[in-house]
Amino acid sequence: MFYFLSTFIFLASLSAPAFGQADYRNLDPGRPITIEDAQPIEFRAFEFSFGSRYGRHQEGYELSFEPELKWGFSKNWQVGVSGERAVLDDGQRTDVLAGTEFHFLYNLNQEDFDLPAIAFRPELTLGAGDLGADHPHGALKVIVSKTFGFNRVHLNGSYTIGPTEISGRGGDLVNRYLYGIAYERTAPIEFFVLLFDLYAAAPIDGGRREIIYDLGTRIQMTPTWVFDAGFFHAIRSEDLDFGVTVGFSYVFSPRSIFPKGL
Amino acid sequence: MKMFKVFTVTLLLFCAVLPVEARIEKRESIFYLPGRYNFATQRVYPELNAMLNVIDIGHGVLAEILITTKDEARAIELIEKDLFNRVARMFLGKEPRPRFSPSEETVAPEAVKLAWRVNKAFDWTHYLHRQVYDILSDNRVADKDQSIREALGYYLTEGERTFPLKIKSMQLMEGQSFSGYWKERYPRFNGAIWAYHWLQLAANEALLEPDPEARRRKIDTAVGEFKKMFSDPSRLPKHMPMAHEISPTFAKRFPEIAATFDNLHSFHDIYMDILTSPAVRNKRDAVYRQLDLMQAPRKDLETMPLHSLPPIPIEQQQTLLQMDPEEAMAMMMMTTEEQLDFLEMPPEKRKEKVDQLKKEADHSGHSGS
Repeated sequence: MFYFLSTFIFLASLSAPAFGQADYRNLDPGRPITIEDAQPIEFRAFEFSFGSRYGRHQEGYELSFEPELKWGFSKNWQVGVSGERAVLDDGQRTDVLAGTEFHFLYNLNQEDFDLPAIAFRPELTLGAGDLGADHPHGALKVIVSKTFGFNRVHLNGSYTIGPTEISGRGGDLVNRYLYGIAYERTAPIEFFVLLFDLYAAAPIDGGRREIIYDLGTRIQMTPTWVFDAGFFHAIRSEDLDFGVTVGFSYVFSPRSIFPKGL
Repeated sequence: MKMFKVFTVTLLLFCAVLPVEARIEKRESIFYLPGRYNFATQRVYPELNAMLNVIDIGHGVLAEILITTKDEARAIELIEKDLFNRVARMFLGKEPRPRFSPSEETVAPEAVKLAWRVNKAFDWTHYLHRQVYDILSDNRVADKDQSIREALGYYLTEGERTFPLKIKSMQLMEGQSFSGYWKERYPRFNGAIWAYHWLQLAANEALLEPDPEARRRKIDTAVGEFKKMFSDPSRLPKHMPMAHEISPTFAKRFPEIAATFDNLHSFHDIYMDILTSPAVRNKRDAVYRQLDLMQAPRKDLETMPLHSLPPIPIEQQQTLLQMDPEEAMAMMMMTTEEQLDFLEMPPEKRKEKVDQLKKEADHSGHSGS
C-alpha cells in the first residue's frame, strides 16, 4: 500500500506548481551510503526519493526498490516513511514486500567551530511480506556530523528493541544494532559529493555481525533533482558479497501549506 | 558488540555534557516560497543568472578566506589577487561557473560557523532577492506586483531573519570604530562587492521594463557593463550603490523591498569591516551586536533626505559609479534637476558643491548621518 501511495504522491507532485532547490549533501540511509548526516530537510519541504539496490549473495541475488517520502513538518524536524520491495533469487524467485519504516529526525543544533551537529532519529519498523519481520521494532539512532572545510565526517549509532526474528526476516530496514563512520568530500562548484562509509551491523535475525563499506556519490542534476549511485562490499558477512545502488531524490512543496504572510 | 557499547556510551556522555546555553544555535533551515516562477531567471536570463551564481561564490569564498587565514598580508594577497582574478575569470566566461545557486555552507563551510544567525538572515534575504528576479523574469506571472507582495509577506514571517523595511542610517556602516577598515585594506575586492550590488540593483530596474524585448536588451546591457568592470577594474564602483540611484523605479514601486536590499548590502559591508578589523577581537559578539542594531525596525533610521535620481540608462552610469561616498550622499539631498547638473559637473566642481552642502548642513545644525 505504501509503495503505491508514495508513487502516487510523487507523480502528483510533478504537476504541482511548487519547486525549490534540493540539498544534494543531505544524506539518507541507503542513498547511496548507509550512514546519514545530522541535517533534516528544510521546514515545509517534502522530499521523495526512490532507490534501487542490487546485492549479490552467495547463493543468488537480491534486487530491491526503496521509495521514501519525507516532510520537514517543523523547524529542525523531519518525519518520513520508507518501504522496501524485494526480488530475491536464490535458486527460486521470490517477489515480496520486506517492511515499512516510519522515522522522525530531530536536529539539536547547528554545528560551530567546536560542537558538531547532533541529531536523534527514532524509528519504527513494521513487518510486511515474506521477508519482513513478524513483529514491530523500535530503534533510536544518534547521529553526529562535523565539518572540516570541504570535508565532513558523520558518526551513526543505533540500537533496536524488539524480538529476534527467524533467519532471513527483517530485510535491510532493521538491524539489532548498527554503528559506523562516513567521510564526505564536497565539490561545491560542481555540485556533487564523494562518499565513503564503514559500518558494522548485527542482523535482527540474531546472525553474526556484518562489516560493510560503501562508496558513492550524490550529484545535483537540476535545482530539484539529485542523482545518487553507490557500490557496497561486505568485508564480513554470512551471505552478502557486494552490490550497487542507484537512485534519485526530488524536492517539492505545495504552496497551500505556506503562510500567507504578514 | 563491545565497540558498539563504547561508541554509544561515549556519544551519550558527550550529549549529556553539552553546555545547554545560548551559544548553541539552531539550524532552522526553511524552504522558500514555492511558485511556478521559481528558477525563471535561470531559464529566461541564463547569463544574468550565471553572474548571480558567481556572486554567491565570491561572497562565500571571501568570508571563508577571512575566517581561515590568520595572516592579514596573506589574506590581502589571496583576496585582492587570487580571488578577484578567479571571480573575474568566471564572470568573463574564462573559467567554469556554478550551474546553480550554491549554498553558502558548501562554499564557506568554516565561515558559516562564526555567526549562524547572520548566515540565516543573509540566506533568507537572498531568497527574497532571487524570488523577485524570478517573478519579474517570468512572463507567465499575471500580477507581478501581487506575487512580489506575497513573497515579501512570506519574508516577513521570519522576523529574526529580516532586514528592516526602512533605510537604516549610513552611520551604522560608515561611522563606527571599525568602519572603513575593509574598504581601506581590500579596495579592489570591495569594489567587486559594490559591483555585485550594482548588478543586483540594475537587474531589479531592468526587469521592470514591460516590453520583453526591451527588457532583454536592458539585462544584456547590465550584464555587459558588469563584465566590463571585471576586465577593467578602474570601472568598479567607488561607493556602495543604492536603490534610489540605480533602481529608482523599483524603489518607488517597492520601497520596502528596496530598503531591505539596501540594508542587506550595507550590512555586508559592516560584516566585512568586523571580519577584517584587528581591533574587533570577539567577532561573533560584535557581529551579533551589529545585527541587533540593524534589525531593530525603528532605531537608527536614516534622517537625511533620500531623493531618488531619475532613471539613468545603464550604459551611462559610470560617472555616477565613480563618485566617492561623500558625493553620492550629497546627491541624496538634491532635487532631480540639481542631481542631473551634478552628474554633468567636472570633478573639481562637484567637490566645491559637496563642500558647500556640508557648510550648509553644519550651519543648519544638521550634521548628516
